[in-house]
Amino acid sequence: MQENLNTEENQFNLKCQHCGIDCKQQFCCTGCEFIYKMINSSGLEHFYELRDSFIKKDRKVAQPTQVSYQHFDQAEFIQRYVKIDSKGYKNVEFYLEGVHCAGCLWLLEKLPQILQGVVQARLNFERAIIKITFDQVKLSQIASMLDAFGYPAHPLNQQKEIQAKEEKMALLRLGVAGLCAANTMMFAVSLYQGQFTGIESKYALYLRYLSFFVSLPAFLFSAQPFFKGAFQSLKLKQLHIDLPIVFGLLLGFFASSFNTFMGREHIYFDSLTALIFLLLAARWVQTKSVKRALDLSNLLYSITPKFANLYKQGQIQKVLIETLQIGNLVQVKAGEIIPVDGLLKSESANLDLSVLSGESRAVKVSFNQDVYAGSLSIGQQILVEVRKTGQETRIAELLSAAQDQSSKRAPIIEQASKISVYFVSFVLVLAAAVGIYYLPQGLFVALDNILALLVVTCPCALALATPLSFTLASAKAAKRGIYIKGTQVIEALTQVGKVFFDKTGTLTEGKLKVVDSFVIGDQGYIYDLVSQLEINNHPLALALSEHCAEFKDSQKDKLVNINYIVGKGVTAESFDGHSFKIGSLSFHSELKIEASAKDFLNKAFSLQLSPVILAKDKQLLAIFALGDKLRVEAKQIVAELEKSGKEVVILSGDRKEIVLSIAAQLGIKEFYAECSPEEKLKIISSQKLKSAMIGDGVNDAAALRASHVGIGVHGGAQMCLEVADVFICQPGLGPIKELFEGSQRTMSVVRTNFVFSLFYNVIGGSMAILGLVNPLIAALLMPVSSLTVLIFALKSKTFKGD
Amino acid sequence: MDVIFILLPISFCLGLLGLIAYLWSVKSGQLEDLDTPSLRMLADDPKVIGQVQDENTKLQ
Repeated sequence: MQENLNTEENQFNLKCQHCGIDCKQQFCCTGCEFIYKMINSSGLEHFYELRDSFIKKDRKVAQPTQVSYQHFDQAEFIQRYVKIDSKGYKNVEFYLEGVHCAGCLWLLEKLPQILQGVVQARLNFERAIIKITFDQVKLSQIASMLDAFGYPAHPLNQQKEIQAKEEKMALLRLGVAGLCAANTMMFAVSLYQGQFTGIESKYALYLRYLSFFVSLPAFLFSAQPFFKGAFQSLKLKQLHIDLPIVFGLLLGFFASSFNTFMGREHIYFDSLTALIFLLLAARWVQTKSVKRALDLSNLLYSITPKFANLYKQGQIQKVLIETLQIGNLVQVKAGEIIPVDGLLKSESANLDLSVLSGESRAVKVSFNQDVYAGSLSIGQQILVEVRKTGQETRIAELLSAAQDQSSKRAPIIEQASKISVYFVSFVLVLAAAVGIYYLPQGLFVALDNILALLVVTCPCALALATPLSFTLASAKAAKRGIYIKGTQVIEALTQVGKVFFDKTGTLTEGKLKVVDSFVIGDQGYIYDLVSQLEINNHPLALALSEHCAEFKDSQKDKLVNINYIVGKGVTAESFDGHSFKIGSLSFHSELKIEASAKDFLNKAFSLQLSPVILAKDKQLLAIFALGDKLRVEAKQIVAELEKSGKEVVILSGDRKEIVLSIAAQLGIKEFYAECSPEEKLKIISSQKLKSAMIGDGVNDAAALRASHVGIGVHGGAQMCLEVADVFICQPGLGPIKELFEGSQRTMSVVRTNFVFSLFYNVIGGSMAILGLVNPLIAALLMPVSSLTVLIFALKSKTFKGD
Repeated sequence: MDVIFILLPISFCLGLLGLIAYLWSVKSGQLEDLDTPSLRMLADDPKVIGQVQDENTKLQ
């Protein structure tokens, strides 16, 4: 009954019944139609009520792929990815594609109801990782069911155990610090009360001793990270904000303890423990936001295909790549990535090497020539004999060379840390002066004032400014698909003087498109022919069929005997005996080209476009000029970057003529073409100005690492994302511009917060010098200063949220 | 008022109990995912007679 209602509605609404996007029919695709039927047959229509709540904008909609998951049942796979828990049940974790709304969450956790044998399914929505507890059912069945609902499943590399332990320790410290801070505050309030209304000395003494004991755990356990940081700072002679903090903590604690045992009044345990708690809280929030970015890049990295099609005695078997031996034969289907370095054992192959070399044109390889892991086979199925696997492949070597760079790279020092040294020295001098001034009034009076000065000037707000601003900024940036992998990266972005663009995929659309066409006769008829002829995975074919898509099924002249000739073109015949040919200029050697067509051809060549010619019975019908189109916003954004004082450079592996043409169109004066990954690295390393590198292929990985800031972009090789400091999940140049501008704004927020915190310190310090500070004043100043910083950070504009 | 000599440590011990509960939740990994539970709660199961019961559904 519900279905009928929906069908009626649909005639007016024209939205896909399942995923809700606008479309012309009831379902936008067979995928949605299939999932719809599955959901209804399982009695889970409630999904559609939940579907649109909390949609994640940057996620793809669920689509089944109907890939076979048989290899999930292999012994090696199970051993690697399935764990047995304490109750004897099997546990497995999958990363799922397509998780994008609360409806997905609800649906996936209903898996036990759908599949017999699954005991529990828990989804971590943010990371799209599902934890499945199961018993009597096959792993392949689980994965197939998940896929059928539109969530293709990928096995996960186990998370590093040490990281998890560190996180738990951090939370533990936070909890202990919180308990200690709360209790010492409770005791302190009683003491403050006592200052006004009077308190018996035995109670006051007791409260002070309690404060001392209760702050011990905070000081000895929770504050450890700060001590470690300050120690490192001294050892490496590198500046760090932990130094003045530890300074304040140590002296404050010892002096307060001294006062306690001496029966004197001035103790600061409450301010100190609150300081520890606040700083730990800020750091934890910061770590979480950095973790989000790191997590995502690790996830994407871990789902690169781990399987290959082993060809043995005429049979194809899907095996883990690690099990391949030298001499094995591997079958690579059209459109798949070659998983190993090896020798081509088919007659010929057309390969896309863009991930490795940045070359955007297909390269032809012949029998027994070398092929490399990472290249894509266009248009046909090939056999490769394995020569090198895993870490020995060229792509792995490129990546490890890139990762080596990281250890040589000098870490960027935060502004806060730089201030810290001046801070400590200044306060020390001041403290000495205060001590000397008050000495005539008594040793204890002097000590009290020094203590007051140190606690009040402890840079709480200063230490909070950067983590808070960064956390808020990176959360906003993440909503836009910009993931920043560390605090210092934002600061580094503002220091960049030169921006290097890899050509394909960043400045251009990254794929071939029909830029212009020359047609003799009926356009509809011609486009229809093209659609019939160009049905393979070759980039040229894809571009042409996309261009002629509207006429796909009209088939006025049905073609038969469609013959695809590698590297040349396609031939076909029609029922009434006409012959058709489409392909490169060299394919049509005997064709006569008239004057106007020749003009078109010449124009195309001058613009570095590839012409594809369609002929009927050796008569010219049409010429299509294909090329990689520049992004619409490219010119404007390059201009804006230059206006903001940055030099823009192209660093590409592509051919000279193409790079020249693009540089000319964009007004870029410095550009490098035909660069190997090693050359790219050399150019970046030799730059005097701080440079940012934007790239998407493994051929950029080493250069990305070596640059001041490495930016990996949408659709980039997964390994590239692992190596970059920032990665951008949205296509286009808009996010890049936002990245630079947002960083600028964030840094100004940070600076303003510094001013605020210094202001508080000056006031507090002055009061301390004048002898006006007591524990109560210090306890008030600290939260006030921290709140100011926090509220200002919250209210400021950093990255644009949408 | 001498009773506070005993009461204060006791109140601290109560706080300690809270900390222990917190430690348990950290160890059992409850703090790993703070976002999903908020979404999970919003998904009420519709009233269906004879629906299959298991840990994940509430029969209303």
